[in-house]
Amino acid sequence: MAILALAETRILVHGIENPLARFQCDEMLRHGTKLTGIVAAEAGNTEHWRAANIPVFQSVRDAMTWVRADLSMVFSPPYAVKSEVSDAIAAGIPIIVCLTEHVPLHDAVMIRHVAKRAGVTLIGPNSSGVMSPGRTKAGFFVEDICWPGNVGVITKSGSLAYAVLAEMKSAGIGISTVVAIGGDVVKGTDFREHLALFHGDPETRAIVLLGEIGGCDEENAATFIRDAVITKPVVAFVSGRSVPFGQTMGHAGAIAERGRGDYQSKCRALAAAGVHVAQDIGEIPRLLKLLAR
Amino acid sequence: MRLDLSPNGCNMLLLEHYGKTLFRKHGVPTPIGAVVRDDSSLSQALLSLPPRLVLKAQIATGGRGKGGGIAFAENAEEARRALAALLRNRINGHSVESVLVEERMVFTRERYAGIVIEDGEIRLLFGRSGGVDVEDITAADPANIVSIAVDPIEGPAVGQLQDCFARLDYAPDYWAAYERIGRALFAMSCAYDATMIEINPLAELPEGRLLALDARVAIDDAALDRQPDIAAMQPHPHITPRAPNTFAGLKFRENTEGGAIGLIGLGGGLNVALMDWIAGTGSKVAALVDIDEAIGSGQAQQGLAAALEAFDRNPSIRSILINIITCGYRLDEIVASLLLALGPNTGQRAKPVILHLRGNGAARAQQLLSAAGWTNSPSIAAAIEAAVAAARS
Repeated sequence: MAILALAETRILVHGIENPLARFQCDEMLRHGTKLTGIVAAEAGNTEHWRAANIPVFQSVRDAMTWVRADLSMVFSPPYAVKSEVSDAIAAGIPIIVCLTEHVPLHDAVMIRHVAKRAGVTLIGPNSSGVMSPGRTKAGFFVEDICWPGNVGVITKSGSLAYAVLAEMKSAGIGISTVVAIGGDVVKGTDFREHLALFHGDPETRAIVLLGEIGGCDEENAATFIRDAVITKPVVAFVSGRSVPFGQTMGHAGAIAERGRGDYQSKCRALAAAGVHVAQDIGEIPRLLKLLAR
Repeated sequence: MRLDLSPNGCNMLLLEHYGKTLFRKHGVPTPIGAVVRDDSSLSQALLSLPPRLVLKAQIATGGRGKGGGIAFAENAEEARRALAALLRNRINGHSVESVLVEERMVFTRERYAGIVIEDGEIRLLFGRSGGVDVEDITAADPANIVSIAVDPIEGPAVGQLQDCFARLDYAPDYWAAYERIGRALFAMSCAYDATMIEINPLAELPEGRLLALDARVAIDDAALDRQPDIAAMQPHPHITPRAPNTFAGLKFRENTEGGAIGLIGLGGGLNVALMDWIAGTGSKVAALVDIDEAIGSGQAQQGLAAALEAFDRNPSIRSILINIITCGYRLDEIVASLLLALGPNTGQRAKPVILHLRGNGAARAQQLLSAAGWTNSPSIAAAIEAAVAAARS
């Protein structure tokens, strides 16, 4: 099964003006992903896509009258993300992956709110995307660094996940799906939603959670694992052990984050919830192998 | 090592007097006052101010009161002396360029009000006790602060606010004023892309009136391009702590605790994890550079060459680790640029360079490396082990 990015998932790409998006579309086609259409605000050079039989639309509404899409990938410029994602939600697209970075926080709060109210799974902003190897690529992840398998991976940082996937591949461990929730302060979905999805996926036997210092996502994930009774084994790694915890501005941040957010607090919370905490990335494949016995 | 851990970059903290200008625009009352920079602007200001004054150094940092940045005066002469002292001194490492002179208020109570983005929501905060010790008070008594999640479209609901005021035992005469403060905080937060606004203390004056005695406003840097009026309120540029040194457009981060390894990496999240791993071996990263921006802007070769040159010149660095695991870029293209920066491996380099390169287009990358005589480490663990060993030999 895998989650979110399935073999039959049809993908719409927004913000093709971004060169990164053009490269990613070519890569998706190389991976056999079902690219159902492209939304281009400006009518530029679209010959390339038409040659590949990918229709190009001026708006998401326009696209949805002609094609069906299960997942939107948003590469739009930071200030355009709020309206682009809102349009995709209004058009009824159930999963939205926002890869754009530097989205203003207030815009992120708004799209998170609107997505939750509409029951849409919003991943990002500043996500590195989702991939189920052997099925569908909806982000930066590539099959060169991972095998298909039965471990689900949820990460804040893209680059950290690339390294962990590569280490897992070297150890012969494959993944069902990798999801990058993004490292921004405000995210559409956090570890919890994806823990629940992996828990419900029969193909996923173990879950890897990759966190970092700052914020409270790891603590929230620990509470969720305990309270929602995630019984699949979870291995976690938190980066930033050697970094002194940053300062927050004003009393408000300090009051909000008191006792949470640093390396020790996160590892303590996760361990108390029965999560196996790896000390470095190299330990992740070792722990997974032990748990698989 | 201090890293910028705020995932959305930084927030610009406005000077108090700019914050108060925004407050007044949104109906939040502040004491009457004026910004002065020297004796003559003070003399001008004194003409319209009462004799009892407070003088506040305008610096974008916390702990100002405890750092000696606030002075009181009972008359013009005292005000002049206080101003001269504030302008002469450095407060918490910041020199003082301007001072806000305000009428000194008599108030009955110090409260707290703020708005912050937390756990994906906009949250309004009200406090029973405010002032410089609000953090300690709240640590001892968490009920000192009541925090409410605000609907980002509708704003705070009347019922939510009233529940909050009742829990904090605010006198009903003041509820209307507190509600106005709550709504103004929400409106300002949205209008100016503020990630945090704090009124501490928020003073209760007689007859149901409130007064914002301080203003701390942090603006989302990612939104500054659409907030030109706010962007123009930059604190004095030369007293704002600058970003770490840049070299050929690269951001280098130096480890203040020393170290012997130079790390060239791709992606902030992985770089931090590698630093942790190396620290776990008992060694340390002396400096690191994220090559992402150079590659993203099509300057991979220049960026890598500049990073290598800087590390070669840094006497504390004894080995260089280049760890690139890429998905978004093509590894073979990065390797082609790297080889132009690095040259063939003839054993002539000043310092040992250890490579761990993986990703998209790995087969061709491997061919290029082999042809140039370079070995690619089989894993991160192996690369770190080699870099640590080379730094020790």
